[in-house]
Amino acid sequence: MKRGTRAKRLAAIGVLAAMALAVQYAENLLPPIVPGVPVKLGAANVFTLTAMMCFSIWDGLAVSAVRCTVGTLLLGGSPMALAYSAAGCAMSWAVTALLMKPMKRGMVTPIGVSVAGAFCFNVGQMAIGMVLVGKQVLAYSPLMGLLSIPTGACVGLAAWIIKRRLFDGRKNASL
Amino acid sequence: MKPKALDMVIAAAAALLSLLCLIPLVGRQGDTVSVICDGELIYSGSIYEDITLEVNGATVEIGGGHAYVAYSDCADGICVDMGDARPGRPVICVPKRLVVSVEAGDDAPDGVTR
Amino acid sequence: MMKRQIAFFLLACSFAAAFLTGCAEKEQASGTSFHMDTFVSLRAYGDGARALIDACEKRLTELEKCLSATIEGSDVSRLNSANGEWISLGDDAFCVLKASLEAAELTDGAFDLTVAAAMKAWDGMSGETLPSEYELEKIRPLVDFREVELDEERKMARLGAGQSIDFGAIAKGYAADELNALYNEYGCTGIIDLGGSIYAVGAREGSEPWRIAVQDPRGDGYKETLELVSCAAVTSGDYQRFFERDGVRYHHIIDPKTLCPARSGIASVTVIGKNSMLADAYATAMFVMGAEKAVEFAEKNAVCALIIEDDGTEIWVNG
Repeated sequence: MKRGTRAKRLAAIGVLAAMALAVQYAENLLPPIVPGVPVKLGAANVFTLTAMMCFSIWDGLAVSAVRCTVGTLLLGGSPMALAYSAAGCAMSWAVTALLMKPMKRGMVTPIGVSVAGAFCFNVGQMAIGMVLVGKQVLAYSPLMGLLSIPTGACVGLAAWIIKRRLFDGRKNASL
Repeated sequence: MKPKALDMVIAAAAALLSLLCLIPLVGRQGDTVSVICDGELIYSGSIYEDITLEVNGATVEIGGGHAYVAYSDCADGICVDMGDARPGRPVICVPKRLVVSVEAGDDAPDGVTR
Repeated sequence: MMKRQIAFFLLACSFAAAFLTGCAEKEQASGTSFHMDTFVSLRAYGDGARALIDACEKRLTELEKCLSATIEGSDVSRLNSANGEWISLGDDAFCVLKASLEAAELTDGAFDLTVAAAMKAWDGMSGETLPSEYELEKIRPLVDFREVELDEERKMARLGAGQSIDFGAIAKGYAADELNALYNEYGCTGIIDLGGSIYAVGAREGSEPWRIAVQDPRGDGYKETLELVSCAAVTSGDYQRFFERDGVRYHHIIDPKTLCPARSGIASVTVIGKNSMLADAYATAMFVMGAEKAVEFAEKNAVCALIIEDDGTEIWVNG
C-alpha cells in the first residue's frame, strides 16, 4: 500500500528505521526490570510494526533488518548476538507479515498481531539458544513467553497510536 | 479499537504454549550440579562439594548447597545477576554458552557434617 | 470498555508470569556468610524465608560480637583480660559459659574451655612453633575449668588468675540452636550449616527426613548418611584444621590433660541430638576421650553418636 510519492515513502521508512535504532540503543542502556531475567520491552518493534501497517511488509522487513543488524552491531554485538537478533527478527517478521492481510480485513487488531510477533521473536531466540547453548534455555521459555503477551500488546497499541496520529489523514478501513 | 476473536486466540495460544513448557520443570530440591559449556558437560557433582571452576572466563562457585556464577567477563553480566541456580531455573551465560544447572540427584545429601 | 478488558488481561498475564517464577517452587531463600571464623550456609523453605535468612545473619553477627575470643570488647575477651576480676556477661555468653562448665564436669574435663591458655603456646595452631615441654608445664595449672566461677544471680563470672577461655568448641553449636529457634519462630524448614555443624530443621518436602552425610575423615567422600528430622549433627575431627611437621599431624583439638593435640585413635566423632550446643561440646570431649571412654560416656548419658577411628572403623552408640 503506497501513500504519497515514493520519495516521501522512503523518507518515512528512513525515519522509522532511525527511530528503531535509537530506541533499541536506549532500551539496552536501561537496567533490566527484574535482575537476572533477560526480558526487555522490545520498544523498537513499534517502528517495524508501524512500517508494516502503513506501508508494506517489505518496508517493515527493511526497518526490521536495519534494527537487527546495525542495532546489534551498535551495541557491541558478536556474531553470536547477531544470530540471536536475526533469528528473533526473522520469526517475528514472518508471523507479522502473515497477519497483515487478516488485520486489514479487520479479523485481528494490531495488538494481536504484535503479541504474535513478540511471542515468535522469543521462539526464534529460543531456537538459536537451543542450538548454541543447549536445551537448558527452555527453562526460561514459560517466563519469556508469558511476558511477550503484555509487552507485545503495548508495542501493538503504540504502533496503532502512531499510525492513527501520524498517518491517518485519509480515510482508511476502520480498525 | 475492538479486539477481535483472533486477538484472543493469539493471546491464549501464547499463554498456553508458555505454560506447557512449565510442566517438565516443576522440580524437587536439587542436589547435583552440572556445568555445561558449548554443549559439553564439564563438571557434574554434588551441590555440597566445595569447588570453584574457571570456565571460559567465568568463575562458577559451588558448595554448601549453592551453585552460582561468581564472576564473568561477559558484556552484560546477566549470569552473575541471576544468583543461585535452582531446579528448573538454570543460570545461563549466553555469550559464553555456559549453563549451570541443578537437578535432583537422588543420591546426593542435603548437608554434610564435618 | 473492551480496552479495559484488554488491559486487565494483559496485566493478568504479566502477573501470572511473575507469580509463576516465584511459585513454581515453595518460597525458599539462602545465604552464605563468614561468621565465627567459619563459612556459614543457610537454606530456608517456607513463607518468610528471605526475612528469616536476614534475621539469622543479624543474629550471627550479634553472637559473634559477644562470643568471639578475638573481637575486642566481646564478653569472652573481657573475661580473658580481666585477670581474675568479676565480669558481667550478656545472656548469650553466660548461657554458653554455664553449659560449658556443666559439660566439662560431665565429661570429667575432657571438654575444658580453659584449654585456650594452651592455644597460645601452640601459636593458634599456625604451624610456626611447637611448644616445648617446659612451656606446656608452665601453662598446665592454668587449664582447669574448676577455677572458673559463676554468679548466676548477677550474671557474672570470673576466671582464675592467668586463665583464658575460648568458646571455639561450643559456639557454633550454640549458634545453630539459636538459629533453629529463629527458624521455628518463622515456621520455616531448612538446613543450617555452620562450618560443618549442621542443624536440619523440620523435614524435607513431603515429610521426608533430611539426608545429612558424614564426611569421611580420611577421604573426600562420605562415610554414612544420616536421616534427620528437626535434629542437629555436629562433628569434631582432626582433618579440618591442622598442620604437619616432620610427618606428624598436629590438629586443633587439644587434650586438656596432655595439652597437645589429642591422640586418641579417633579420626572423627559425630554427635546427633536436638541440642546442638551440647552435641558440639560432647563431640569434642569424646574425641579427646578415645573410643572406649567415649562409648562409655555416650551410653551413660544417652548420647547418640558415631565414632570413626583412624583405621576407618565405625562405632555407633545409641544409633
